[in-house]
Amino acid sequence: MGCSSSSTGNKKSEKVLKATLVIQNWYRGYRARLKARQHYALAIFQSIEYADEHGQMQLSNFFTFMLENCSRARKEDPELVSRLFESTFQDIKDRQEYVGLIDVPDSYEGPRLEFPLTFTDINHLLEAFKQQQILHAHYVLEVLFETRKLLKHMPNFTHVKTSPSKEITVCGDLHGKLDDLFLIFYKNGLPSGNNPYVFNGDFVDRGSNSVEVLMILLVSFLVYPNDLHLNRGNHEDFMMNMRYGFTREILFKYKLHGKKILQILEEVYTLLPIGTIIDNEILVIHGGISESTDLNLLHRLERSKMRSVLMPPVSINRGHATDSKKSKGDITVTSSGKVKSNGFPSQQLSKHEWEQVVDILWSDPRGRKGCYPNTSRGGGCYFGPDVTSKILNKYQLKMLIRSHECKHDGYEICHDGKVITIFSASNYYEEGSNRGAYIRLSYGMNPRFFQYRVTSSTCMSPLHQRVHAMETSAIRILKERIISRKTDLMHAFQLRDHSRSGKISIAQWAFSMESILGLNLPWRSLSLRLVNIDTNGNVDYMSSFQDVHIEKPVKEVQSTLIETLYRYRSDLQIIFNVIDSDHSGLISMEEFRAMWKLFRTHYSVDIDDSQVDELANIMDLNKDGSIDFNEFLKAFHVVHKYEKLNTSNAKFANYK
Amino acid sequence: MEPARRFCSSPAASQRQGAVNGKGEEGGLQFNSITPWGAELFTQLSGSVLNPQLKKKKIEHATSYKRGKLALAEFHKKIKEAFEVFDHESNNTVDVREIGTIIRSLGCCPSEGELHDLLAEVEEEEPTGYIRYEKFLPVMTKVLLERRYRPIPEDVLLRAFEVLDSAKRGFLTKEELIKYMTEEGEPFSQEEMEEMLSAAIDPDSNSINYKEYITMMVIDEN
Repeated sequence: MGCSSSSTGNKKSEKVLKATLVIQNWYRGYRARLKARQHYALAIFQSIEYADEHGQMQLSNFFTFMLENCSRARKEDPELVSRLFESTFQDIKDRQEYVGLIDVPDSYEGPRLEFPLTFTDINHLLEAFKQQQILHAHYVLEVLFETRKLLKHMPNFTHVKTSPSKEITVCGDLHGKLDDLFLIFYKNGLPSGNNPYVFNGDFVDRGSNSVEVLMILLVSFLVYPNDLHLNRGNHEDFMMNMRYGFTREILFKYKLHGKKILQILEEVYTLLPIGTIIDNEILVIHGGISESTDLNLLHRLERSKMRSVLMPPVSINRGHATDSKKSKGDITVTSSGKVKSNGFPSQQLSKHEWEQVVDILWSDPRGRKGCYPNTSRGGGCYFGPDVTSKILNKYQLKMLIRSHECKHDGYEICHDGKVITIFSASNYYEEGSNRGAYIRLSYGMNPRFFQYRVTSSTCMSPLHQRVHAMETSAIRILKERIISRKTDLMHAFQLRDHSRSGKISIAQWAFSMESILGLNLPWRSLSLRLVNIDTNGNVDYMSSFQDVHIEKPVKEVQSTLIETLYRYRSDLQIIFNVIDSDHSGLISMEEFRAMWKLFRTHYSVDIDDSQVDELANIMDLNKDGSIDFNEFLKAFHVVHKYEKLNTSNAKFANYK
Repeated sequence: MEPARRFCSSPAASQRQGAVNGKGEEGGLQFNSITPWGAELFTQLSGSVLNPQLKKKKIEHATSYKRGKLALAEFHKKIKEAFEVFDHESNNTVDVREIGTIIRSLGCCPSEGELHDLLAEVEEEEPTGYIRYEKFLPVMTKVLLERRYRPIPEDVLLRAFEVLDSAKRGFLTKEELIKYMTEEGEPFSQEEMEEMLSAAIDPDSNSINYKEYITMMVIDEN
């Protein structure tokens, strides 16, 4: 700022100064508002994601309900029950011959692996996947079988030692994002004897390359079993895969052999270690801990029995213990109340053991002291800094490294430096939503963090465009949520609209939205983007539903039915998948009706059975008494009024 | 409950109501001057306790007082929402570096200097790097009630650019913009400068057509 001798000069520079201040002030305000919008979008993505997971846990209750209360079902269809409980693992043992039976044709141009695997195979695979080739089912199965063999010998927790010359790298969730894995290997080097890695769970689901990510990790593991460590995440679970896309990706990429892959995969998941302990002082697990976490118990239990978070140990009534009708894999109850299959040892963990594992895979750290049920996810708990201190002290540990939650900067430190969250899938929700990160550690040194972001173009688009894209995406899925609860929301709004004016206050609108949708979001800040507000600050509540509606597959069907089916479509998908054990995609009308009845009762859904029947009849185009349930459920989708048919918009819905 | 006794006072509020306060303080009563309606009615009421019309007015006043309280509750909710979004650990604290963003997201535009003063009010005696909600709420409420740090209107912004564009060309070159923004006033950090450039500069001409830029930013926000 220069000083001029003439007064006009002074005045001029004063004007310039003022103008500059104005622009700087304005820009900083604008930039801050952009950042806030970015955070709001993230909050939307996160709360919906966790609400979905909550729904997942509810499904678990449904299966329990079904099995504990359906004595009738058991008598009529013991097959159904045994399908859910019978271990198919015994059969797989002999199916290794399969692999030999699957030919790899000469015309196959994809990568070929040679067993026993070496680092050349890792490189080979990486190059092939960069060119978007698909690994033949023969090799996928062989890798899975070899992995299973090796994992069986490994303990529940892998113990690792580092040294100044041998640092270890810890990576978090990848969720099928292949580009992020490529970027990590590019920045940090390939795994090897001198470059060990821990991958902390959630390798699959949501992204579009879960198969490729998993294959790279498993092949690397087979080549370097003492230096490439894998921890199980909550998505390494065959039931989660049904909802979050991996199952569909496999069946899509491997039309002929997909089912077999799914079967062996299920077992491989259960054999993945629960966690890693570095230098006897750092515990690396996917989710978190609870105040009752018992590491000794976790070391001892048989992890292979933990099939899915949706299959808690069930005790079936004594009365049916001696069913005279013995079909394949019939279940009996021992005197201790444990369920077992005839002739096989107990197939389940005890309830206590099961809960311990769920806590490890599902819990989240929070600032509040104590330990509370994790209500947004529906499983595991929220643990406070006091719980962290208690458990770490109990086992003489210094730090907990976990993943499970998407963080804006790729990592976050909390609980006074004792808990680190590491997340390695950048742009997880949307382009620009977050960075990914990994940690390099060695004994006695402070952990070092490395952040990155995968971008589709060579230079990033300006901030406001990225924020706009994120925001649009977030608002879009929020609106889908809103429309799926239209009936209940309307009811809540009308209850408050005493004068029948079609308007309520912002406070009333925000309260209704939060309580019906169960999403803890900044509704007032979001209101401008969701509804029309008049000059008095009142909300025209019907505008909550503008620009979006659920496609009616058939005209004659009532809106409430459509809405309900749309809302529960993921749950129904999973239930049908489970019943359809041969993965044919078809179920009989009786099975459909039976499932619907049970579902309706358990979820207290107020829809007349006859309506659903009618709908199913209409959808049964072949009139052959069976329903293609994928088609049935796909028919219920949301249409956004102003949406241009854009393939990138389908990203979030990819494989869903 | 006597409506009269509900009136509570807050020093800032009384100051704001200035002239009206003179009458309002009769009989030792002050009023919650959140609501302009409340202020008006009270002045009508003052000095006449036995007026038969008083009951009606008292009820009206009670309603508008209630409305005022609701308005205050709304402010609090809004502040809480904005705060919570940055409260990553859900323990009612945010990183001190986010305070500027939070305040600005609530529609205020303090300068860096003003922000610094505000920070001093919300920080602990011994700064911990975190700001607690309990300290933030009253300070922020006051800011909103007093309508401090109003945002810059579009036309003022345009005139500011025009001042810098002494030759009245309708644009500023990249170098000029960088020079002003990083050397004058409250200088931009490198990150801030780069971000502004990425959106504002037309790569072909290496300049910013400020009128278009302003229009674009305004559209984006609404």
